[in-house]
Amino acid sequence: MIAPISTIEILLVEDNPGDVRLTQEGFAHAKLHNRLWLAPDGEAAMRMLRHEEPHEECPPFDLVLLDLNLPGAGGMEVLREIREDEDLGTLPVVVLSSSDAERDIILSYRLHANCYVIKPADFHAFVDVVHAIEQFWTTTARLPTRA
Amino acid sequence: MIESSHGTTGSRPTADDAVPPPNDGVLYRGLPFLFAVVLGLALLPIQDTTVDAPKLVLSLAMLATLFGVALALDRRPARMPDWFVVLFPYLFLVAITILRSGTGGTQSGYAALLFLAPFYVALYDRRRWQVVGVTFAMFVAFAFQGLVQTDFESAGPLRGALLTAVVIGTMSLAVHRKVGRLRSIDAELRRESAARAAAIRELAAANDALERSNRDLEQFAYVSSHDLQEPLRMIRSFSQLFMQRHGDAMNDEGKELLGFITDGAERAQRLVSDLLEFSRVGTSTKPFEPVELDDVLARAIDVLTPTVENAGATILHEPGMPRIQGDPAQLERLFVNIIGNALRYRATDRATEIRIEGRPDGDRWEVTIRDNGIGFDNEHAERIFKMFQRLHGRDEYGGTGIGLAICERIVERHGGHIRANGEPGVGSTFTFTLESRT
Repeated sequence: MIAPISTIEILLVEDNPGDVRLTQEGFAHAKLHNRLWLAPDGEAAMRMLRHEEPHEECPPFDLVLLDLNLPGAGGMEVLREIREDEDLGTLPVVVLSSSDAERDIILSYRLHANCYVIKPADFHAFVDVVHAIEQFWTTTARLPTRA
Repeated sequence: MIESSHGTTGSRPTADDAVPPPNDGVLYRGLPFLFAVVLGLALLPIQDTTVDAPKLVLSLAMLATLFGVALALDRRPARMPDWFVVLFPYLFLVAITILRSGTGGTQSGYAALLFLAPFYVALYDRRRWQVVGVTFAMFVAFAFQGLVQTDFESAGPLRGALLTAVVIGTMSLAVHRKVGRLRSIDAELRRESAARAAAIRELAAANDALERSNRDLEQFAYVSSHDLQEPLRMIRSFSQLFMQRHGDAMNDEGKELLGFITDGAERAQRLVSDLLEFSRVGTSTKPFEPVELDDVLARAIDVLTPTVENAGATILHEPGMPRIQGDPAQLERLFVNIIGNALRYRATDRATEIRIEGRPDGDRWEVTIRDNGIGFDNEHAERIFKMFQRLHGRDEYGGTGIGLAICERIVERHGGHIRANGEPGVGSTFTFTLESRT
Protein backbone atom coordinates (compact mmCIF):
# COMPACT_ATOMS: atom_id res chain seq x y z
CA MET A 1 0.00 0.00 0.00
CA ILE A 2 1.39 3.34 -0.98
CA ALA A 3 0.59 6.18 1.35
CA PRO A 4 -0.29 9.39 -0.43
CA ILE A 5 2.64 11.67 0.05
CA SER A 6 1.54 15.01 1.25
CA THR A 7 4.60 16.12 3.13
CA ILE A 8 8.09 14.96 2.25
CA GLU A 9 10.03 14.34 5.41
CA ILE A 10 13.72 14.99 4.92
CA LEU A 11 16.42 14.34 7.48
CA LEU A 12 19.48 16.53 7.13
CA VAL A 13 22.49 15.07 8.96
CA GLU A 14 24.84 18.03 9.21
CA ASP A 15 26.87 19.54 12.01
CA ASN A 16 27.89 22.75 10.29
CA PRO A 17 25.29 25.46 11.00
CA GLY A 18 26.39 27.30 7.87
CA ASP A 19 25.59 24.34 5.67
CA VAL A 20 22.31 23.81 7.52
CA ARG A 21 21.39 27.36 6.68
CA LEU A 22 22.45 27.01 3.05
CA THR A 23 20.42 23.82 2.71
CA GLN A 24 17.42 25.52 4.25
CA GLU A 25 17.83 28.31 1.71
CA GLY A 26 17.79 25.71 -1.04
CA PHE A 27 14.59 24.14 0.25
CA ALA A 28 12.91 27.46 0.90
CA HIS A 29 11.60 27.74 -2.62
CA ALA A 30 10.43 24.13 -2.90
CA LYS A 31 7.27 23.56 -4.83
CA LEU A 32 6.13 20.64 -2.72
CA HIS A 33 5.55 20.82 0.94
CA ASN A 34 8.50 19.33 2.73
CA ARG A 35 9.83 19.34 6.22
CA LEU A 36 13.52 19.48 6.96
CA TRP A 37 14.61 17.77 10.15
CA LEU A 38 18.06 18.23 11.54
CA ALA A 39 20.45 15.77 13.15
CA PRO A 40 23.75 17.31 14.26
CA ASP A 41 25.61 13.99 14.44
CA GLY A 42 25.38 10.36 13.44
CA GLU A 43 24.07 9.09 16.74
CA ALA A 44 21.19 11.57 16.77
CA ALA A 45 20.49 10.69 13.14
CA MET A 46 20.14 6.98 13.89
CA ARG A 47 17.92 7.67 16.91
CA MET A 48 15.70 9.92 14.83
CA LEU A 49 15.49 7.40 12.01
CA ARG A 50 14.55 4.66 14.48
CA HIS A 51 12.24 6.94 16.48
CA GLU A 52 14.19 6.18 19.57
CA GLU A 53 14.14 8.26 22.69
CA PRO A 54 14.08 11.28 22.77
CA HIS A 55 12.97 11.37 19.13
CA GLU A 56 9.77 9.36 19.32
CA GLU A 57 7.92 12.24 17.71
CA CYS A 58 9.95 11.96 14.50
CA PRO A 59 7.96 10.90 11.44
CA PRO A 60 9.07 8.14 9.10
CA PHE A 61 11.55 9.79 6.75
CA ASP A 62 11.47 9.87 2.95
CA LEU A 63 14.98 11.07 2.26
CA VAL A 64 18.27 11.52 4.10
CA LEU A 65 20.77 14.24 3.20
CA LEU A 66 24.00 13.06 4.74
CA ASP A 67 27.18 15.04 5.31
CA LEU A 68 30.30 12.88 5.58
CA ASN A 69 32.28 15.14 7.85
CA LEU A 70 30.43 14.54 11.10
CA PRO A 71 31.64 14.54 14.69
CA GLY A 72 32.03 11.07 16.21
CA ALA A 73 31.53 8.09 14.00
CA GLY A 74 31.31 10.07 10.74
CA GLY A 75 28.96 9.98 7.79
CA MET A 76 30.23 6.73 6.29
CA GLU A 77 29.39 4.92 9.51
CA VAL A 78 25.87 6.37 9.49
CA LEU A 79 25.46 5.26 5.88
CA ARG A 80 26.67 1.77 6.73
CA GLU A 81 24.33 1.56 9.69
CA ILE A 82 21.34 2.71 7.65
CA ARG A 83 22.05 0.13 4.97
CA GLU A 84 22.46 -2.64 7.51
CA ASP A 85 19.20 -1.77 9.25
CA GLU A 86 16.34 -3.99 8.18
CA ASP A 87 13.76 -1.20 8.23
CA LEU A 88 15.93 1.60 6.89
CA GLY A 89 17.72 -0.36 4.17
CA THR A 90 15.61 1.06 1.34
CA LEU A 91 15.67 4.66 2.52
CA PRO A 92 17.17 6.94 -0.16
CA VAL A 93 20.37 8.57 1.07
CA VAL A 94 21.95 11.50 -0.72
CA VAL A 95 25.50 12.15 0.37
CA LEU A 96 26.12 15.88 0.44
CA SER A 97 29.78 16.43 1.04
CA SER A 98 32.44 19.04 0.49
CA SER A 99 34.92 16.28 -0.32
CA ASP A 100 35.66 15.62 -3.97
CA ALA A 101 38.10 12.87 -3.08
CA GLU A 102 37.71 9.83 -5.27
CA ARG A 103 37.93 7.45 -2.31
CA ASP A 104 35.01 9.16 -0.53
CA ILE A 105 32.91 8.98 -3.67
CA ILE A 106 33.72 5.34 -4.33
CA LEU A 107 33.20 4.28 -0.72
CA SER A 108 29.85 6.08 -0.56
CA TYR A 109 28.55 4.27 -3.62
CA ARG A 110 29.97 1.03 -2.37
CA LEU A 111 27.89 1.55 0.76
CA HIS A 112 24.90 2.04 -1.51
CA ALA A 113 24.43 5.77 -1.26
CA ASN A 114 21.79 6.77 -3.79
CA CYS A 115 23.88 9.63 -5.03
CA TYR A 116 26.88 11.68 -4.12
CA VAL A 117 26.74 15.44 -4.44
CA ILE A 118 29.63 17.80 -3.85
CA LYS A 119 28.66 20.98 -2.05
CA PRO A 120 29.38 23.81 -4.45
CA ALA A 121 31.58 26.64 -3.26
CA ASP A 122 29.33 29.29 -4.69
CA PHE A 123 26.20 30.23 -2.78
CA HIS A 124 23.97 30.33 -5.82
CA ALA A 125 25.31 27.04 -7.07
CA PHE A 126 24.71 25.51 -3.65
CA VAL A 127 21.11 26.63 -3.59
CA ASP A 128 20.67 25.32 -7.13
CA VAL A 129 22.07 21.94 -6.19
CA VAL A 130 19.85 21.57 -3.14
CA HIS A 131 16.93 22.65 -5.21
CA ALA A 132 17.77 20.06 -7.85
CA ILE A 133 17.99 17.34 -5.22
CA GLU A 134 14.65 18.34 -3.79
CA GLN A 135 13.12 18.44 -7.25
CA PHE A 136 14.45 15.09 -8.30
CA TRP A 137 13.73 13.12 -5.15
CA THR A 138 10.37 14.57 -4.38
CA THR A 139 8.96 14.96 -7.86
CA THR A 140 10.79 12.83 -10.39
CA ALA A 141 11.87 9.80 -8.40
CA ARG A 142 9.43 7.32 -6.99
CA LEU A 143 10.28 6.72 -3.33
CA PRO A 144 9.70 3.45 -1.51
CA THR A 145 6.98 3.13 1.07
CA ARG A 146 8.03 4.78 4.28
CA ALA A 147 9.80 2.64 6.81
CA MET B 1 90.91 -14.61 -8.41
CA ILE B 2 92.64 -11.26 -8.35
CA GLU B 3 95.22 -11.40 -11.14
CA SER B 4 97.11 -8.23 -10.44
CA SER B 5 96.27 -6.15 -7.50
CA HIS B 6 99.70 -4.56 -7.57
CA GLY B 7 99.82 -1.26 -9.36
CA THR B 8 96.09 -0.90 -9.12
CA THR B 9 95.83 -0.74 -5.36
CA GLY B 10 94.93 2.94 -5.78
CA SER B 11 92.51 4.01 -3.12
CA ARG B 12 92.47 0.70 -1.35
CA PRO B 13 94.24 0.73 2.01
CA THR B 14 97.15 -1.71 2.02
CA ALA B 15 97.64 -4.23 4.81
CA ASP B 16 101.14 -4.17 6.40
CA ASP B 17 103.16 -6.98 4.85
CA ALA B 18 100.43 -8.83 3.07
CA VAL B 19 100.10 -6.81 -0.09
CA PRO B 20 103.41 -6.88 -1.95
CA PRO B 21 104.87 -3.77 -3.43
CA PRO B 22 104.35 -3.30 -7.16
CA ASN B 23 106.46 -5.41 -9.57
CA ASP B 24 106.69 -8.21 -7.02
CA GLY B 25 104.40 -10.32 -9.08
CA VAL B 26 106.95 -11.83 -11.43
CA LEU B 27 109.08 -13.05 -8.55
CA TYR B 28 106.09 -14.54 -6.81
CA ARG B 29 104.98 -16.26 -9.91
CA GLY B 30 108.50 -17.53 -10.63
CA LEU B 31 109.36 -18.82 -7.19
CA PRO B 32 107.13 -21.90 -7.05
CA PHE B 33 108.42 -22.98 -10.43
CA LEU B 34 111.99 -22.55 -9.29
CA PHE B 35 111.26 -24.57 -6.18
CA ALA B 36 109.65 -27.23 -8.25
CA VAL B 37 112.86 -27.57 -10.24
CA VAL B 38 115.05 -27.65 -7.14
CA LEU B 39 112.79 -30.14 -5.41
CA GLY B 40 112.70 -32.30 -8.48
CA LEU B 41 116.49 -32.35 -8.66
CA ALA B 42 116.78 -33.06 -4.95
CA LEU B 43 114.43 -35.97 -5.12
CA LEU B 44 115.88 -37.48 -8.23
CA PRO B 45 117.36 -40.80 -7.29
CA ILE B 46 120.79 -39.34 -6.70
CA GLN B 47 121.97 -41.87 -4.13
CA ASP B 48 120.88 -44.74 -6.29
CA THR B 49 123.38 -45.95 -8.77
CA THR B 50 120.62 -46.87 -11.16
CA VAL B 51 118.24 -44.48 -12.78
CA ASP B 52 115.26 -46.43 -13.95
CA ALA B 53 112.36 -45.34 -16.10
CA PRO B 54 109.57 -45.25 -13.47
CA LYS B 55 111.60 -43.05 -11.16
CA LEU B 56 112.40 -40.67 -13.98
CA VAL B 57 108.77 -40.54 -15.14
CA LEU B 58 107.53 -39.93 -11.60
CA SER B 59 110.09 -37.21 -11.06
CA LEU B 60 109.00 -35.49 -14.25
CA ALA B 61 105.35 -35.93 -13.30
CA MET B 62 106.12 -34.33 -9.98
CA LEU B 63 107.81 -31.41 -11.72
CA ALA B 64 104.79 -30.94 -13.93
CA THR B 65 102.45 -31.14 -11.00
CA LEU B 66 104.38 -28.59 -8.99
CA PHE B 67 104.41 -26.38 -12.01
CA GLY B 68 100.66 -26.83 -12.14
CA VAL B 69 100.38 -25.90 -8.51
CA ALA B 70 102.45 -22.79 -9.19
CA LEU B 71 100.07 -21.86 -11.96
CA ALA B 72 97.07 -22.71 -9.85
CA LEU B 73 98.33 -20.39 -7.13
CA ASP B 74 98.41 -17.65 -9.66
CA ARG B 75 95.15 -18.35 -11.45
CA ARG B 76 93.31 -20.16 -8.77
CA PRO B 77 89.66 -20.54 -9.57
CA ALA B 78 87.54 -18.87 -6.93
CA ARG B 79 86.09 -22.16 -5.87
CA MET B 80 89.44 -23.82 -5.09
CA PRO B 81 89.74 -23.58 -1.30
CA ASP B 82 92.92 -22.44 0.45
CA TRP B 83 93.42 -25.74 2.23
CA PHE B 84 93.52 -27.52 -1.10
CA VAL B 85 96.30 -25.30 -2.39
CA VAL B 86 98.29 -26.00 0.75
CA LEU B 87 97.46 -29.66 1.12
CA PHE B 88 98.02 -30.68 -2.46
CA PRO B 89 101.81 -30.26 -2.59
CA TYR B 90 102.03 -31.85 0.83
CA LEU B 91 100.16 -34.94 -0.26
CA PHE B 92 102.40 -35.04 -3.26
CA LEU B 93 105.44 -35.12 -1.03
CA VAL B 94 103.89 -38.00 0.88
CA ALA B 95 103.60 -39.85 -2.40
CA ILE B 96 107.22 -39.12 -3.24
CA THR B 97 108.39 -40.39 0.12
CA ILE B 98 106.52 -43.62 -0.38
CA LEU B 99 108.03 -43.87 -3.82
CA ARG B 100 111.48 -43.42 -2.40
CA SER B 101 110.87 -46.06 0.23
CA GLY B 102 112.87 -48.53 -1.85
CA THR B 103 116.06 -46.73 -0.96
CA GLY B 104 115.62 -47.55 2.72
CA GLY B 105 114.52 -44.16 3.93
CA THR B 106 110.91 -45.20 4.59
CA GLN B 107 110.84 -44.74 8.30
CA SER B 108 112.69 -41.47 8.41
CA GLY B 109 110.66 -40.14 5.46
CA TYR B 110 107.39 -40.87 7.21
CA ALA B 111 108.64 -39.42 10.42
CA ALA B 112 109.79 -36.29 8.62
CA LEU B 113 106.44 -35.85 6.90
CA LEU B 114 104.48 -36.44 10.09
CA PHE B 115 106.71 -33.96 11.81
CA LEU B 116 106.34 -31.50 8.99
CA ALA B 117 102.61 -31.68 8.69
CA PRO B 118 101.62 -29.34 11.52
CA PHE B 119 104.32 -26.87 10.57
CA TYR B 120 103.31 -26.95 7.01
CA VAL B 121 99.70 -26.29 7.90
CA ALA B 122 100.76 -23.66 10.40
CA LEU B 123 102.68 -21.86 7.68
CA TYR B 124 99.53 -21.19 5.88
CA ASP B 125 98.33 -18.84 8.51
CA ARG B 126 101.45 -17.25 9.91
CA ARG B 127 103.46 -14.18 9.29
CA ARG B 128 106.71 -14.14 7.43
CA TRP B 129 109.10 -14.20 10.38
CA GLN B 130 107.21 -17.14 11.80
CA VAL B 131 107.69 -18.96 8.53
CA VAL B 132 111.42 -18.44 8.79
CA GLY B 133 111.28 -19.76 12.33
CA VAL B 134 109.34 -22.81 11.30
CA THR B 135 111.71 -23.48 8.44
CA PHE B 136 114.61 -23.33 10.87
CA ALA B 137 112.77 -25.64 13.24
CA MET B 138 112.39 -28.12 10.43
CA PHE B 139 116.08 -27.98 9.75
CA VAL B 140 116.77 -28.74 13.37
CA ALA B 141 114.20 -31.49 13.40
CA PHE B 142 115.68 -33.21 10.42
CA ALA B 143 119.21 -32.80 11.60
CA PHE B 144 118.29 -34.18 15.02
CA GLN B 145 116.43 -37.06 13.47
CA GLY B 146 119.52 -37.84 11.39
CA LEU B 147 121.75 -37.77 14.43
CA VAL B 148 119.70 -39.89 16.81
CA GLN B 149 118.57 -42.54 14.44
CA THR B 150 121.41 -44.93 14.18
CA ASP B 151 119.83 -47.12 11.57
CA PHE B 152 119.33 -44.10 9.38
CA GLU B 153 121.26 -44.34 6.18
CA SER B 154 123.89 -41.80 7.04
CA ALA B 155 124.60 -39.40 4.21
CA GLY B 156 122.00 -39.88 1.46
CA PRO B 157 118.66 -39.65 3.25
CA LEU B 158 119.88 -36.90 5.53
CA ARG B 159 120.89 -34.79 2.58
CA GLY B 160 117.59 -35.56 0.89
CA ALA B 161 115.64 -34.69 4.02
CA LEU B 162 117.51 -31.43 4.50
CA LEU B 163 117.04 -30.46 0.90
CA THR B 164 113.38 -31.36 1.11
CA ALA B 165 113.02 -29.28 4.24
CA VAL B 166 114.68 -26.29 2.62
CA VAL B 167 112.56 -26.63 -0.45
CA ILE B 168 109.33 -27.12 1.48
CA GLY B 169 110.20 -24.25 3.76
CA THR B 170 110.90 -21.80 0.99
CA MET B 171 108.07 -23.01 -1.14
CA SER B 172 105.78 -22.67 1.82
CA LEU B 173 107.05 -19.17 2.22
CA ALA B 174 106.04 -18.43 -1.34
CA VAL B 175 102.70 -20.15 -0.86
CA HIS B 176 102.21 -18.36 2.36
CA ARG B 177 102.96 -14.96 0.94
CA LYS B 178 100.82 -15.60 -2.04
CA VAL B 179 97.97 -16.90 0.08
CA GLY B 180 98.52 -14.09 2.57
CA ARG B 181 98.23 -11.53 -0.17
CA LEU B 182 95.11 -13.18 -1.54
CA ARG B 183 93.67 -13.37 1.93
CA SER B 184 94.32 -9.75 2.58
CA ILE B 185 92.71 -8.84 -0.73
CA ASP B 186 89.87 -11.14 0.15
CA ALA B 187 89.52 -9.52 3.58
CA GLU B 188 89.69 -6.13 1.95
CA LEU B 189 86.95 -7.12 -0.48
CA ARG B 190 84.88 -8.51 2.34
CA ARG B 191 85.32 -5.29 4.27
CA GLU B 192 84.42 -3.27 1.23
CA SER B 193 81.43 -5.40 0.45
CA ALA B 194 80.29 -5.20 4.08
CA ALA B 195 80.74 -1.43 4.02
CA ARG B 196 78.84 -1.27 0.76
CA ALA B 197 76.06 -3.44 2.15
CA ALA B 198 75.89 -1.19 5.21
CA ALA B 199 75.79 1.87 2.97
CA ILE B 200 73.03 0.31 0.91
CA ARG B 201 71.09 -0.49 4.08
CA GLU B 202 71.57 3.08 5.29
CA LEU B 203 70.47 4.45 1.93
CA ALA B 204 67.42 2.21 1.92
CA ALA B 205 66.53 3.35 5.44
CA ALA B 206 67.01 6.99 4.48
CA ASN B 207 64.92 6.40 1.40
CA ASP B 208 62.19 4.82 3.50
CA ALA B 209 62.24 7.74 5.88
CA LEU B 210 62.07 10.17 2.98
CA GLU B 211 59.21 8.33 1.40
CA ARG B 212 57.38 8.26 4.70
CA SER B 213 57.94 11.95 5.30
CA ASN B 214 56.89 12.65 1.73
CA ARG B 215 53.71 10.65 2.24
CA ASP B 216 53.05 12.47 5.50
CA LEU B 217 53.55 15.78 3.78
CA GLU B 218 51.24 14.82 0.93
CA GLN B 219 48.67 13.70 3.45
CA PHE B 220 49.12 16.92 5.37
CA ALA B 221 48.70 18.99 2.23
CA TYR B 222 45.67 16.97 1.27
CA VAL B 223 43.94 17.11 4.64
CA SER B 224 44.74 20.74 5.30
CA SER B 225 43.64 21.94 1.88
CA HIS B 226 40.55 19.79 2.12
CA ASP B 227 39.62 21.08 5.54
CA LEU B 228 40.37 24.63 4.50
CA GLN B 229 37.79 24.40 1.74
CA GLU B 230 34.95 24.18 4.23
CA PRO B 231 35.36 27.51 6.10
CA LEU B 232 36.23 29.27 2.86
CA ARG B 233 33.04 28.00 1.33
CA MET B 234 31.17 29.43 4.30
CA ILE B 235 32.80 32.85 3.97
CA ARG B 236 32.12 32.96 0.26
CA SER B 237 28.57 31.65 0.37
CA PHE B 238 27.44 33.84 3.21
CA SER B 239 29.02 37.00 1.91
CA GLN B 240 27.11 36.28 -1.29
CA LEU B 241 23.92 35.65 0.65
CA PHE B 242 24.54 38.76 2.68
CA MET B 243 25.02 40.79 -0.47
CA GLN B 244 21.83 39.33 -1.90
CA ARG B 245 19.73 40.01 1.18
CA HIS B 246 21.21 43.21 2.52
CA GLY B 247 23.11 44.65 -0.42
CA ASP B 248 20.46 47.26 -0.98
CA ALA B 249 20.67 48.44 2.60
CA MET B 250 24.42 49.03 2.36
CA ASN B 251 26.20 52.09 1.08
CA ASP B 252 28.91 51.81 -1.57
CA GLU B 253 31.73 51.42 0.94
CA GLY B 254 29.93 48.55 2.64
CA LYS B 255 29.49 46.83 -0.72
CA GLU B 256 33.13 47.38 -1.57
CA LEU B 257 34.33 45.93 1.72
CA LEU B 258 32.08 42.92 1.34
CA GLY B 259 33.42 42.57 -2.18
CA PHE B 260 36.94 42.28 -0.75
CA ILE B 261 35.77 39.50 1.57
CA THR B 262 34.13 37.54 -1.24
CA ASP B 263 37.06 38.09 -3.53
CA GLY B 264 39.61 37.04 -0.90
CA ALA B 265 37.66 33.91 -0.08
CA GLU B 266 37.35 33.06 -3.74
CA ARG B 267 41.07 33.41 -4.30
CA ALA B 268 41.92 31.42 -1.20
CA GLN B 269 39.57 28.74 -2.39
CA ARG B 270 41.20 28.53 -5.82
CA LEU B 271 44.57 28.34 -4.16
CA VAL B 272 43.47 25.58 -1.84
CA SER B 273 41.89 23.60 -4.64
CA ASP B 274 45.05 23.98 -6.77
CA LEU B 275 47.14 22.86 -3.81
CA LEU B 276 44.85 19.92 -3.39
CA GLU B 277 45.30 19.04 -7.01
CA PHE B 278 49.07 19.42 -6.78
CA SER B 279 49.19 17.02 -3.86
CA ARG B 280 46.87 14.63 -5.69
CA VAL B 281 49.17 14.36 -8.70
CA GLY B 282 51.85 13.15 -6.32
CA THR B 283 49.67 10.71 -4.40
CA SER B 284 47.76 9.27 -7.32
CA THR B 285 48.11 5.52 -7.48
CA LYS B 286 45.85 5.14 -10.47
CA PRO B 287 47.53 2.78 -12.95
CA PHE B 288 48.33 4.19 -16.37
CA GLU B 289 46.11 3.28 -19.28
CA PRO B 290 46.36 3.75 -23.05
CA VAL B 291 45.54 7.37 -23.84
CA GLU B 292 45.08 8.99 -27.25
CA LEU B 293 46.89 12.30 -26.92
CA ASP B 294 44.78 13.80 -29.70
CA ASP B 295 41.60 13.01 -27.75
CA VAL B 296 43.04 14.44 -24.56
CA LEU B 297 44.00 17.65 -26.35
CA ALA B 298 40.52 17.89 -27.92
CA ARG B 299 38.92 17.55 -24.49
CA ALA B 300 41.24 20.18 -23.03
CA ILE B 301 40.35 22.59 -25.84
CA ASP B 302 36.68 21.84 -25.19
CA VAL B 303 37.07 22.75 -21.54
CA LEU B 304 38.76 26.01 -22.52
CA THR B 305 36.31 26.97 -25.26
CA PRO B 306 34.58 29.78 -23.29
CA THR B 307 37.95 31.29 -22.37
CA VAL B 308 39.24 30.90 -25.92
CA GLU B 309 36.19 32.63 -27.33
CA ASN B 310 36.32 35.28 -24.69
CA ALA B 311 39.93 36.03 -25.56
CA GLY B 312 39.24 35.88 -29.28
CA ALA B 313 42.11 33.42 -29.55
CA THR B 314 42.88 30.84 -32.23
CA ILE B 315 44.23 27.42 -31.39
CA LEU B 316 46.08 25.69 -34.21
CA HIS B 317 46.99 22.05 -34.10
CA GLU B 318 47.31 19.12 -36.43
CA PRO B 319 46.15 15.78 -35.13
CA GLY B 320 48.64 12.95 -35.35
CA MET B 321 49.88 12.57 -31.83
CA PRO B 322 50.29 8.98 -30.66
CA ARG B 323 48.60 6.84 -28.10
CA ILE B 324 50.63 6.67 -24.91
CA GLN B 325 50.40 5.12 -21.48
CA GLY B 326 49.20 7.67 -18.97
CA ASP B 327 46.60 9.15 -16.71
CA PRO B 328 44.01 10.77 -19.03
CA ALA B 329 42.67 13.22 -16.43
CA GLN B 330 46.16 14.42 -15.56
CA LEU B 331 47.21 14.77 -19.20
CA GLU B 332 44.08 16.78 -19.89
CA ARG B 333 44.93 18.99 -16.93
CA LEU B 334 48.44 19.41 -18.37
CA PHE B 335 47.08 20.75 -21.67
CA VAL B 336 44.42 22.86 -19.95
CA ASN B 337 46.99 24.48 -17.68
CA ILE B 338 49.52 25.31 -20.39
CA ILE B 339 46.96 26.49 -22.95
CA GLY B 340 45.12 28.33 -20.15
CA ASN B 341 48.39 30.01 -19.27
CA ALA B 342 48.86 31.09 -22.87
CA LEU B 343 45.36 32.56 -22.83
CA ARG B 344 45.90 34.31 -19.53
CA TYR B 345 49.19 35.93 -20.52
CA ARG B 346 48.06 37.02 -23.97
CA ALA B 347 49.16 40.29 -25.49
CA THR B 348 46.45 42.90 -25.82
CA ASP B 349 47.75 44.46 -29.02
CA ARG B 350 47.38 41.44 -31.31
CA ALA B 351 45.14 38.46 -31.88
CA THR B 352 46.18 35.55 -29.71
CA GLU B 353 47.41 32.51 -31.56
CA ILE B 354 48.35 29.27 -29.86
CA ARG B 355 50.07 26.62 -31.90
CA ILE B 356 50.35 23.03 -30.67
CA GLU B 357 52.72 20.62 -32.34
CA GLY B 358 53.86 17.13 -31.56
CA ARG B 359 56.78 15.18 -32.91
CA PRO B 360 58.52 11.93 -32.03
CA ASP B 361 61.77 12.27 -30.12
CA GLY B 362 63.43 8.87 -29.82
CA ASP B 363 61.28 6.74 -27.55
CA ARG B 364 59.44 9.83 -26.41
CA TRP B 365 56.93 12.22 -27.84
CA GLU B 366 57.64 15.91 -27.69
CA VAL B 367 54.79 18.40 -27.52
CA THR B 368 55.34 22.10 -28.11
CA ILE B 369 52.78 24.75 -27.21
CA ARG B 370 53.76 28.14 -28.64
CA ASP B 371 51.92 31.41 -28.11
CA ASN B 372 52.36 35.01 -29.18
CA GLY B 373 51.58 36.43 -25.75
CA ILE B 374 53.52 38.73 -23.48
CA GLY B 375 56.36 36.21 -23.11
CA PHE B 376 58.89 36.32 -20.31
CA ASP B 377 62.55 36.76 -19.71
CA ASN B 378 64.40 33.47 -20.10
CA GLU B 379 66.23 33.97 -16.83
CA HIS B 380 62.93 33.01 -15.16
CA ALA B 381 62.49 29.91 -17.33
CA GLU B 382 63.04 27.51 -14.43
CA ARG B 383 61.50 29.61 -11.72
CA ILE B 384 58.05 29.58 -13.28
CA PHE B 385 57.65 25.87 -12.54
CA LYS B 386 58.17 26.42 -8.83
CA MET B 387 55.13 26.69 -6.63
CA PHE B 388 53.77 30.18 -5.95
CA GLN B 389 56.31 31.73 -8.30
CA ARG B 390 54.64 34.42 -10.28
CA LEU B 391 56.27 36.83 -12.66
CA HIS B 392 53.35 39.22 -12.69
CA GLY B 393 51.04 40.77 -10.13
CA ARG B 394 47.94 38.68 -9.48
CA ASP B 395 45.70 41.65 -10.14
CA GLU B 396 47.13 41.89 -13.61
CA TYR B 397 46.69 38.31 -14.74
CA GLY B 398 45.19 36.23 -11.92
CA GLY B 399 46.21 32.64 -11.32
CA THR B 400 47.49 30.95 -8.21
CA GLY B 401 51.07 30.22 -9.16
CA ILE B 402 50.54 26.50 -8.82
CA GLY B 403 49.37 25.60 -12.33
CA LEU B 404 52.80 25.11 -13.87
CA ALA B 405 54.07 23.29 -10.78
CA ILE B 406 51.20 20.86 -11.32
CA CYS B 407 52.23 20.55 -15.01
CA GLU B 408 55.80 19.74 -14.07
CA ARG B 409 54.61 17.09 -11.66
CA ILE B 410 52.30 15.52 -14.21
CA VAL B 411 55.01 15.43 -16.88
CA GLU B 412 57.51 13.89 -14.47
CA ARG B 413 55.00 11.27 -13.45
CA HIS B 414 54.75 10.38 -17.13
CA GLY B 415 58.51 9.95 -17.43
CA GLY B 416 59.17 13.22 -19.23
CA HIS B 417 60.52 16.73 -18.80
CA ILE B 418 59.04 20.14 -19.26
CA ARG B 419 60.81 23.36 -20.14
CA ALA B 420 59.81 26.86 -21.04
CA ASN B 421 61.28 29.39 -23.37
CA GLY B 422 60.20 32.99 -23.57
CA GLU B 423 60.89 36.26 -25.23
CA PRO B 424 59.37 39.36 -23.66
CA GLY B 425 56.80 40.91 -25.97
CA VAL B 426 57.02 38.05 -28.49
CA GLY B 427 55.65 34.96 -26.81
CA SER B 428 56.33 31.81 -24.83
CA THR B 429 57.00 28.23 -25.81
CA PHE B 430 56.35 25.32 -23.50
CA THR B 431 57.85 22.01 -24.49
CA PHE B 432 57.30 18.75 -22.72
CA THR B 433 58.15 15.15 -23.45
CA LEU B 434 56.12 12.07 -22.61
CA GLU B 435 57.15 8.44 -22.75
CA SER B 436 55.48 7.17 -25.89
CA ARG B 437 55.36 3.46 -25.08
CA THR B 438 51.92 1.98 -25.53
